[in-house]
Amino acid sequence: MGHALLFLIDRQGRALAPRLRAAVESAYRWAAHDYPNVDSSLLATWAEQVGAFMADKEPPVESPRRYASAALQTKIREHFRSSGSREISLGTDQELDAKARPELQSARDIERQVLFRELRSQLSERDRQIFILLQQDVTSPQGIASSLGISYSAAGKAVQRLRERLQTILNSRPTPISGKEHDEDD
Amino acid sequence: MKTTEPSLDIVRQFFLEENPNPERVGCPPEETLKAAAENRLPVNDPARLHMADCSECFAEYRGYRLDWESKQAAKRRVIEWAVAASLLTGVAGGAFALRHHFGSNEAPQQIAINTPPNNNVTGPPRVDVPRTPPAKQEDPHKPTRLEPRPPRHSSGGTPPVENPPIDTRPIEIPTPAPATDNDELVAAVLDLRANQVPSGPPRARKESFTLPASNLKLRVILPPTTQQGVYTLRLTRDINGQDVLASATSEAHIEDGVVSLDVKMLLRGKAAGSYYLLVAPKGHGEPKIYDVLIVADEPSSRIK
Repeated sequence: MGHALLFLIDRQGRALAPRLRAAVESAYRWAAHDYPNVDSSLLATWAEQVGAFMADKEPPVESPRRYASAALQTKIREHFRSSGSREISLGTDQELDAKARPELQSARDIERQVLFRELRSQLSERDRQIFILLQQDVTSPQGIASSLGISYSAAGKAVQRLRERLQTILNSRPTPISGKEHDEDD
Repeated sequence: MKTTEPSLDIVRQFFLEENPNPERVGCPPEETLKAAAENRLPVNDPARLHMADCSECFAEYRGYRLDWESKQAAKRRVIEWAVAASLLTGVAGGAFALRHHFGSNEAPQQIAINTPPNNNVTGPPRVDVPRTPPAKQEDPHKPTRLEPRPPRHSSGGTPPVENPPIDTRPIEIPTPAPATDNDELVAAVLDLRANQVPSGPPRARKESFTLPASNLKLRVILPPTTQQGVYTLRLTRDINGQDVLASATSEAHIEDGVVSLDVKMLLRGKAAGSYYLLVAPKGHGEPKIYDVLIVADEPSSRIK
């Protein structure tokens, strides 16, 4: 997980309120953890932008944490959707390495989109629910059966089926996608 | 399936982007997501399955989850440090207690002196005396005075026990009683079948017998010509039988052709030096004289 010092100030240069600061810092920690393939300095820049926007927002944000998380997620999503034009548009100085190799970055983004398309087509509604439950530490077949309203054996088989599908999809990738970009390039 | 592998990171990102719900339609409140992240939400709560269709809620849940995991890790670290600190304190305290209670040989004496006198028992108060052998004293009949033991200081010792006031007067130790049958006797054998001092002056001394300055259970082997009967043994400084150091009487018996007698010679505390042993039939008869050298007792040579 990359760590970066966040300069959380509003547009007038004043420090953010503690409530807003905590919300932005929490959202940044989540993004840095769950998106290791995105430059942490880029995430920090987005988090600072979100913080400044929240500070100036009128009326004030009621749920800073929820807002910060959703806003940062939107920026990440836009980042990946606009991958085709990113190399020639903008970027922080830390992106110089990525900008020097636009073809490689584009290949990664395309590969990522292909993988997402595979997941979208291969995973059923039940598979998605089971994956989300597994992410919430509901790992026993009994818990999954209780949550989905199915039998114990059906839950066990569903979990096994999900594992096999994910394994098949991920093994079909030509090259690993995840991980830090600069680490893979070395 | 805790996704720490890079491949599952991509799958998680798929769920974080696949189902955008910017208007937050049908989303549970923040507290519900926080409860799910902290394992406080029932397994069959519908909010758990909602995250499969809402990327925003799943992202929010992930944020809460990471915060909670960080707090748990911090708690674990605090507990580990606390356990380590208590273990260290316990070990140090135990070592201190062991060293203090069992490492000092003087503790029993201190307790004995501090013990209040028992009115039901007559006689002098009980005092633990250092175990120095009386033979080492220059004059065993001289009374020994013990100075009271100074009180223990708090540094390196247990706090003083609140007992009745200690009698600090000098305590007089009774004079050691003469050796009795209960005293420790050292077994020794004195073979007189040779080395008898020739009678009549001048006496050319031969090799002496050696005895330790202890209370002896002495077996004396007499010359083969000795007849059975009761004999008196005298250890003297003078060859004429004067200045008797110790004496004993016993009956000689013959066993396997060897004439011997068993006596107790109380030589503890006697000065080392050269003496005469006079062996004579009781009541009458010329004594046979032997040279005896008494040496200081050496505990290592004792035979019990």
